[in-house]
Amino acid sequence: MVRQANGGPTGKEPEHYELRLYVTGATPASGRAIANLKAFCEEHLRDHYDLEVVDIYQQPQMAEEDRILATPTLIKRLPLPLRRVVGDLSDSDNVLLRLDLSPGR
Amino acid sequence: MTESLSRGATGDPGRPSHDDLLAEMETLGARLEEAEDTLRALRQGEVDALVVLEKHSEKVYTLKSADRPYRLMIEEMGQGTVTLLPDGTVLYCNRCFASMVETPLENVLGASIYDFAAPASRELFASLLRAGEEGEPGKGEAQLLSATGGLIPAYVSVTALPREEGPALFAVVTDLTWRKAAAAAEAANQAKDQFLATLSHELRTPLTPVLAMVSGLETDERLPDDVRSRLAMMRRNLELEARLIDDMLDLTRIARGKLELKRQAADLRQILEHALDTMGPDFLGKRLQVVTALATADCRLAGDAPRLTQVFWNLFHNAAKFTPEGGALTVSSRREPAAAPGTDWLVVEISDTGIGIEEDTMVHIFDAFDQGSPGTTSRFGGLGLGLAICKTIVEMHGGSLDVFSAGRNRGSTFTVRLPATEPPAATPKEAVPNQHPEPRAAGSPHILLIEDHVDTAEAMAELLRGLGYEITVAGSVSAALAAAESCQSGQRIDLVVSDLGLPDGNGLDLMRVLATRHGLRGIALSGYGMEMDIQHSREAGFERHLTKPVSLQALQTALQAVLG
Repeated sequence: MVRQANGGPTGKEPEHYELRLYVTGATPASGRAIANLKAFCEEHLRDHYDLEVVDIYQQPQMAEEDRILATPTLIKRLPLPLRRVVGDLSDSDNVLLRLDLSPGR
Repeated sequence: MTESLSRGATGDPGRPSHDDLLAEMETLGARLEEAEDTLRALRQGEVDALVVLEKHSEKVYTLKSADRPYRLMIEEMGQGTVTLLPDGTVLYCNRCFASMVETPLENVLGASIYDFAAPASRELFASLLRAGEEGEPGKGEAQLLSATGGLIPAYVSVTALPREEGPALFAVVTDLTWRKAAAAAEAANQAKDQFLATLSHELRTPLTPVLAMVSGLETDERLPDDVRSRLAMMRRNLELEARLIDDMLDLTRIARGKLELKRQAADLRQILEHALDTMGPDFLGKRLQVVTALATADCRLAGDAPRLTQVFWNLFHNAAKFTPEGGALTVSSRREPAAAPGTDWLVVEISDTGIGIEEDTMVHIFDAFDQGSPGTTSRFGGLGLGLAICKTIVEMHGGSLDVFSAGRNRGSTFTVRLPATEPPAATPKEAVPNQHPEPRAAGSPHILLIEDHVDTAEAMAELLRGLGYEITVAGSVSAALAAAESCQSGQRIDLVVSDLGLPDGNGLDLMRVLATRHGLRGIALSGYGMEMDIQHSREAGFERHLTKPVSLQALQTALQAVLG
């Protein structure tokens, strides 16, 4: 896989992100969350992320393991620490903050 | 909560008092407890609706949604379903689609549909999505690309999915692999049937003139008796060979569910007697002692008499074949009440003192190509198709065919059960065709015989002339048309008897011309005897369709029926 440098503060190879988004099929908020997250990842994490989208109806056991209370919920599995963001991810600044990607950090 | 904190601190210029903080903590603790308890209730499914604040109003969201059953249906259906954004992002797909493209569900959702389209099909997907976005449903055959690089033929149908936040699309994807495979298998099966039909035609063609000639000579009273009995032997063996060919054809019909019965009022006793009559010489040849005990009771049934004759002929033939010289054969029939009140079985038992059947082969005895053991096949010959065909024919009549044997060399008993017709259903019997055709009296109907096989044409012409018909022979479509033209003014043609495969065309097209242009009637002679062939003959205007080899008697019967 080609991993592009993303202009991080250290300039070395960026960290790899493993993201998992829990949705409920193509319901409005879930649909928005998928579209928003795709756009977000292409902008901020291009080529150094893996994304899984899990439908809680289809894989309730995964939802149970990740203790999902509501959908959509985004989980950052790697790098640690694990983070979760609930909602449709429309506020990309908030997402940056919650995923520890904010330049201010 | 921060709001509560700050509100709690208002009106206090300096640090909040200890008591205030304690009270605040208590409130917060209670609120936290309440929130945690709410979460617990939500998590444990104790809640079935949520009230959600939206811009102008509150909305109620039910958790156990009413559309859950539909969701389940889509999830379990045998077709792939995908919900897409116009740019191809997959919002949702069901298990079926994920398994088609051999990709885990969580890696299909959120991905692009173009990742699962074969390069050659990407443009089709793009145009379906574009059309769908504009509200135009579309469909087409595409190739999907699986994670392992496999190409899957699929039918894709895309419709718009109305959504508040902009268009989404719903695609139904049907895997055509199975259908393509089924179509290929069907084509192979048709090729096999066609091959068998062609094979039997090729095997039968040379039999036709020989059988016709031999059966003609056999009835020629000018010949000495010993010659005629040898001719009878020749005819029986020719007929046996024809029957083996017929069995092959029957089996392909059964395999394709195309064996059809023509059920009419029939008398089982007559059928049995007729089958026994034709077996006489075989029984005599092996010096078999044949005991018949046929019921005198009402033996009427609704059945296909020729097919039932075939069943009993096969069973008698089997008994004779597997019983050593000097053995005994018993044929008995009776009428007995069936389980359903007011209905009766006609039961026929055929017992022999032959080689018997071992218990473990008994279950396979009705399977096609099975004769018990390979040794049996080499010792007794035959294709092993007879019993399979018999059982099918009997079962199609609503009856049963069973076998019992006490073991090796202890004989076998075959039991046929057929449903009897109730007494009031009496219908006048059709006249039985004359066993030994008589030459026709004056009047001499004129037959145009069209047959390209020179030997066959010659033999048939001679036999038909012997029966008193006037014959004109044509060996091709053009010769037949010329004969019809030249006869139009002078002597008229009463009937056309035509082969279907001719060197310069086919008999079906010829018959259409002869019927429309000259008003002629016809009988078709063909090596092909499938239902479809017979139907084609009828459509072309033939009144009868005879399958080769045609015995003199069958031809005579058909001629009498058509010419009246």
